[in-house]
Amino acid sequence: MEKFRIQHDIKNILERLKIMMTMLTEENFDVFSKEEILKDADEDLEKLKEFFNKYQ
Amino acid sequence: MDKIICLGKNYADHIMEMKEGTPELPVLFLKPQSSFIEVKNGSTVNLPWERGEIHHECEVILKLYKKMVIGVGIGLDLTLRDLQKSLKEKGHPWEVAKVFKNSAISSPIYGVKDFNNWIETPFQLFINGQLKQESKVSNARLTPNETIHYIDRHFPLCDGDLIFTGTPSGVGPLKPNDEIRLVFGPVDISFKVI
Repeated sequence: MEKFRIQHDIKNILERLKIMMTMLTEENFDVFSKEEILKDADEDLEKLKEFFNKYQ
Repeated sequence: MDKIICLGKNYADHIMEMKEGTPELPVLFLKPQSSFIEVKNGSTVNLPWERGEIHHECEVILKLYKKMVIGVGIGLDLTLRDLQKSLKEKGHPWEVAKVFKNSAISSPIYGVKDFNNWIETPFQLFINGQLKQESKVSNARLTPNETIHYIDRHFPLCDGDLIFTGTPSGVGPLKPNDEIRLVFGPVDISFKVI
């Protein structure tokens, strides 16, 4: 179960990063500011690193 | 995208044309990612004509991030109407009439900044040059915020999920080789169903 949960979490992070990149490239800042998007992206990238750091 | 959440009976004029009762709140159902297709100008979309009448339901589509609308588009929620009717009469679930390959057709999703006021922007479906459906999101029974809160009470919402917000009146059958045109603010795309 743990394996599937991790896969699901990683899929969600990648989906969020894709959305954030689209908002940045399209300068779509009406709902979330550029700063907020970049902060979210940093947090998600950190989470992603944690998944892989376990195996280093 | 984790899933597509669809609303039924969210426009009063469509409820009237279907001659069915009005539920207290719109009905909710899901379509999986595998039923989804994004169309561009000149696309062709294959449909299962052998399964009976396929009805178009033109709808505004919302894309969510952190339970907020970050993008909008227009699309068709396709329905196997004969099959749905027969299942409804038997009191059975009608999911199989809604979930089939290419049953959730979407334009490219635009950022909300690309619209002047997307809630008040007319959305239109033309088939072979004839206007078939037209409305605006402000005519729906639930506002976009109410829709999100309503769905959130029933389904886990994920970033990237799409909401098909229900169809206004004018639904009807498609035929092979129909030319479909979807218009909504900056969106104006034409494609063919085969």
